Amino acid sequence: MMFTLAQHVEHAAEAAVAADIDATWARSLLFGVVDVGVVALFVTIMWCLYRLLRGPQLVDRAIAADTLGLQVVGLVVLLTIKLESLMYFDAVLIMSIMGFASTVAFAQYIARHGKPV
Amino acid sequence: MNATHIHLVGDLLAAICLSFGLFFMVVGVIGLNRFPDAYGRLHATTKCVTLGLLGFLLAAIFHRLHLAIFTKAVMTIIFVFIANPVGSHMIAKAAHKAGYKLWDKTLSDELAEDRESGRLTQPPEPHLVDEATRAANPPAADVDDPISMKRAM
Amino acid sequence: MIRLVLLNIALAVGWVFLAATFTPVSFLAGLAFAFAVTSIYATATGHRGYGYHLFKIVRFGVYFLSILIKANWQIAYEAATPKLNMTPRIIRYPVGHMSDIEKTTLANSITLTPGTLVVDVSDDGEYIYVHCMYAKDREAAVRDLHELATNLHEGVFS
Repeated sequence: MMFTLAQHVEHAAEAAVAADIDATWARSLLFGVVDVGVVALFVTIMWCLYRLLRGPQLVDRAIAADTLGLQVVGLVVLLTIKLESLMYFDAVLIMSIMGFASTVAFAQYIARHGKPV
Repeated sequence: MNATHIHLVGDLLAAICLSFGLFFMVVGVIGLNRFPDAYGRLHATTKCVTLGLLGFLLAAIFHRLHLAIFTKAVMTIIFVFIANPVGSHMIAKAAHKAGYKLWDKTLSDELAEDRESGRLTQPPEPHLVDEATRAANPPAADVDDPISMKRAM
Repeated sequence: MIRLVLLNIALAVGWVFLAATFTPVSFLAGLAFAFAVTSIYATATGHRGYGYHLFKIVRFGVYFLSILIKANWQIAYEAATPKLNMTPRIIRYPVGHMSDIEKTTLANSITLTPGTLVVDVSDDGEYIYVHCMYAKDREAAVRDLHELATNLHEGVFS
């Protein structure tokens, strides 16, 4: 990485000032919702990870992995809104495709070797 | 109506869509931890996470109003609406085939009835047939085969 | 008919390439001209008006979004209240008369609508097996599925 995340946030803030994007009350409301969303997604991702590690059956782990992938996609969308950046939006499509591929692989594994315990 | 007003309305719509999507995403994870059997959990996660992601991507579109984000977000929405039900369908089919039990209060299971009565005559997986035949009559050891020799060593 | 809509979009893309101005406004203009051309084409080949078809597709989209939100509200209610009052059941639903793409679209729509989840397809493609969450009355559940299938066929595949 050429520059760290903190520098990137600084850079994005400077770019926003340079582009003369004014801070209206709607924008501060949106950023408040984004902050709440990051915390909520942190909690749900941790909960999914717990289900992934602990899940009594293999199917529960598969469902948790599927959900987890799409929640990480949601986190990336929040990052693009927060950083005012176009750069991360490519990751959204790629990660949803990879999540689907992993779900298909998991389902194949369950169909072949995944007897219930 | 100048640019400031457009951004004001866009941000307001984005905040509404974002809170909408966030609510349903949290509900989906609660359902994942709360429903009694695998099929019920699939109900919760498929519907809620799809709608939640729709809200998130609409928020990204309304916030920036930029063509690059619009096209990518629309492609992602179409992909997720096709791929997410297909993935849950695959998990449900695999779970039923592997023999995971339904919930105790399930009233009837016509898929299991049809599978027993022979309407679903699915042939066994080809690799399982191969393994069965190989176990029945193992191939004679061929010393000229370099791979077998390597395995023997 | 979905084929006419795809023709409309393809003509608009062709307009953008021929005009060599890659802007959203150019694409919208292409959509407008392609709409006129597709209407004439639809009338000439004996379909009922293209505008009416477009209206039916949009109407199905609004109906689908409304039942998707209803499904999520049902899940939220079920997850929030402490007692689980579900009566699940796996039922079979006949889809023998449909084409493959219509079966796929119907299965995806069923999975995203309230209380139903597609589990399997029979080998000959005659039946799909649907896990219904609130199916105390089997006939009522089949009637709901039938309503969705009728709406899908009327809106998109007719």
